[in-house]
Amino acid sequence: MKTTIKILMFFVIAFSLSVFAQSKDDYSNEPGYVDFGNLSSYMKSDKVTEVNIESYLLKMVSNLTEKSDPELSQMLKGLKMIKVYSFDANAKNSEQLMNKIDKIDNSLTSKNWDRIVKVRSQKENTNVYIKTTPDQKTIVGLVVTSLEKDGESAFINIVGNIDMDALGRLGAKFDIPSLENIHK
Amino acid sequence: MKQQKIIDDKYLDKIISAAYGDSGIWDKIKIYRDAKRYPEVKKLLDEYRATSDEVKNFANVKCPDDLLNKAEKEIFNSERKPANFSMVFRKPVFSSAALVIILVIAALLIFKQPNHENKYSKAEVLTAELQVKESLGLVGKIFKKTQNTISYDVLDKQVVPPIKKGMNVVNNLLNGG
Repeated sequence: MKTTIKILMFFVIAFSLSVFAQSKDDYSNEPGYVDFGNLSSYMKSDKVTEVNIESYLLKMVSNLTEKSDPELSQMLKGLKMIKVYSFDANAKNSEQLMNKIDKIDNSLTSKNWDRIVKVRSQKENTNVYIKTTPDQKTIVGLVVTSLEKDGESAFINIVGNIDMDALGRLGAKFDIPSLENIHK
Repeated sequence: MKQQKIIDDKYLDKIISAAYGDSGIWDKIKIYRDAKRYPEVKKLLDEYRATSDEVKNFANVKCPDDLLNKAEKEIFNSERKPANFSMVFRKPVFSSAALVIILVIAALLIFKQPNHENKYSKAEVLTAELQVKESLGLVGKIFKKTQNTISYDVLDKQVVPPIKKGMNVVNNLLNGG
């Protein structure tokens, strides 16, 4: 009887823990996840974009766009999270942002992220990183850090299986006028 | 001719109990009666009674102090030992209570699971779609800008001029100019 109770207790505890683990949408363990730290102090400008879409909502969007945009739908199926912070950079915060970008760069390169693009000039600083699986076959994370002095700064993290070709095509496709117009 | 009494283990236990004075009154009467009838029963009863008397006549021996101290120490230490966690659950009350608590927690976790189906409205999904497109657009814009920088600023301004200059030098050399 005691043994039965013990076994029962073990299964209940194990089940509870697994349920608890599932209930929490924790992406911090995902290899493609990056914590940009606190950016709230920069998010006070007039033009601010903050996007944080998690897997279930991405799946719903994927389902919604299945007929209207099959390529977008297909790409979203593999994604687990899209996180975007975009805001105006000015003379005041440019230096701090530059330091932040450098810190992120050090952190990512030390964690075996591949920096595929690095543009550094007086006017701008843009880095693009990808995280691949150990067999190098799948991209599981993308990070973009961008700072345009007296322009726009962006911190982007996409987590999940990323099809870079599709991302490039869709990126070009959705480089939508509304965003351009905001600038002008 | 006297019959022989069959003495099995059960009967022997009764004889021993009677000899030590532990048996009930009826068993005692029965054994004493049998002892009168059967010499083998009497012999066994006498033997055990003699042993019983010897045991009863043992003088009280004082236990050595060091042994007493050692025993006290053992008892004291065992009392002070922190309660083993598993010992608590050996008690049925605690194990049942723990089981109930765990079941309640498990039930709460299951039923309190966020219901994704109802979590997002159609409007929220449409907004998310726009946000996804905007995010991808932003990525595309940065890629495009980077591409422009690489092709125009880096290639056109920094790579091509030195190559052109180098080619001119080579041309001049070849043409003897």
